[in-house]
Amino acid sequence: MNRKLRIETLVFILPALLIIFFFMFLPMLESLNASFHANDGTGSFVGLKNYIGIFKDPAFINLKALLEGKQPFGAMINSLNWILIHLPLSMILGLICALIMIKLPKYKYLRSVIFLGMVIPGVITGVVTQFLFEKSSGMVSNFFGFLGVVSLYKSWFAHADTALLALIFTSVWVWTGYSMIVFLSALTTIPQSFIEAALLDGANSPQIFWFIKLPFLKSSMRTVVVMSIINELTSFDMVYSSTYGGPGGASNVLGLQMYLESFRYTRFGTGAAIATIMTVIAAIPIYINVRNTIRNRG
Amino acid sequence: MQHSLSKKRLVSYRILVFFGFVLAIVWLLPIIGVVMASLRPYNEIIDGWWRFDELHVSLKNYEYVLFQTTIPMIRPLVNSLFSSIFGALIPALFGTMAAYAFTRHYIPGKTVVTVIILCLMAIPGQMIAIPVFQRINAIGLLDTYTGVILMNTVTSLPWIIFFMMNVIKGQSISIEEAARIDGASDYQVFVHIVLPQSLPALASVVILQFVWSWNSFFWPLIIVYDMDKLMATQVIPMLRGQFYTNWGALSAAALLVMGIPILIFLLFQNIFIQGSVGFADEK
Repeated sequence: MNRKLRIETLVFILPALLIIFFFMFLPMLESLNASFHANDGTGSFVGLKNYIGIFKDPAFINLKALLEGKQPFGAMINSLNWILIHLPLSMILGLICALIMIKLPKYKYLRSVIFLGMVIPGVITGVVTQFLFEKSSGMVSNFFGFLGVVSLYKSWFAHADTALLALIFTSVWVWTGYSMIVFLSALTTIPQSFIEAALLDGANSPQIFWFIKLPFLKSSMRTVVVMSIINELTSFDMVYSSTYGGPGGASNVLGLQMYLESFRYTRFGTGAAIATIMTVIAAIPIYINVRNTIRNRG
Repeated sequence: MQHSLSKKRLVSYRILVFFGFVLAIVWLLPIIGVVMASLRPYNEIIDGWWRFDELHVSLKNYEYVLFQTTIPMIRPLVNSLFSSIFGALIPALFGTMAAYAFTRHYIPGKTVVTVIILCLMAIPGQMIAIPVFQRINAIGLLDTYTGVILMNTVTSLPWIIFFMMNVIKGQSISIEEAARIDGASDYQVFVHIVLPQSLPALASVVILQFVWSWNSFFWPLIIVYDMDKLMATQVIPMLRGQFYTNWGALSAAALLVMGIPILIFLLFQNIFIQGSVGFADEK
């Protein structure tokens, strides 16, 4: 190959690279820089003041509420809770769905139904949330009413203790389809001869799952964890369109708090600092993702 | 022995089929609910769409949200269609061009640039939102479709470049070399050899990116505010009243907005499944 950068090469790469540079790479650095500068428009350097301000803001972390165990805990805690509840639920449900669907190759449309939530816009998922958890017209609240669980027979998103859960559960409805599809593709790579050999040796289903299927699922589990965490951390659309963080900030999340600070209160320094915190948390999953991609490409 | 074993297997298979259907129905119920609410008058669904004491099916809610509300949906739907078509075609073209040069040409610092793009692919949109807003404002693209299309392009270029790099890498280089010996230029090789060979993959990219552009909400929310220019996803939160929500109208609007992605998904399921499993796994 010719080891000289040619004009033709530049014509091919510059449109994409210039757009990425000016609207992604540079903005990322500018955000980082803005997070150390004042909100008031003078743009003077304030060091860590914005970060300290965030951690003192009850909308971000509300220690008092946290100690009392009563929402609103603040956007940061809610986002971490979102990951803690959402990740295991959507993974386990996705795994169960995958283990069932792999045995039903004739019924591929069942997979499509479970995956359907992934292709609808996040703002619509927000509408679905309201629809499921509304007291009189919602299926979930009515289901609990039918079971006689009076405390959950209510409009979940109108009460501080359940608003976030309603959002998380609806999001699980969406993301189960994702983990199912990823697990399914991993399950199909297991050579049938492995399973047959194990059956001949007298292995039962749990043993086959634990010793044969699970090792094959390890790398796809990593994929699901990484992609889910990045998504859970940045969730915004459905929160905006259903609860808008309410009631009283009980379902506020980092993505929404960043939007409110930046584009409602025009405190760009604070908004940029929240964005930076989000990116720092996302850095580990992003790193794992990048490493895996490079490794897979060989 | 053999007989009883196969019988046992048949029973367990039927149990699995049963559970498969139960799961799928449970997963489908929320959407069925939205469909029901969109087709029936408000007073019939207020106590649950699953009650059929009275049943009046009509398209009145659709008529209302499309033409009669304060923000008739017809315009935002057209806006979304327009922006999503360009928001898919432009990054597909630029991404493929870059991917071709990245796989076949000498570029100094290629590895570093590749890794940076790979990192940017997963960066939270919030991390670039403020400077992007300011820059788009500075170049006069605030409150324009071009601004929305630009951001659909920016956010999708990284994955499209990577996807297409893998595709082009898988293509035989000998045809390109033969064309080159015959005196073909880079542009001719790209247009007459690389593009036609990449067409199926390119179609996947355009379809996926169209749906993702259509579904996008964060960037339109920041960039577009004029009532005539709103994207369809932006109208949905506006229909939610603070004290009173017209469920019928909201459901009809929701169905109009999610109808297009669902339709495209049903037509091209494999593309979506491959797309979510990830280009990283592709050879």
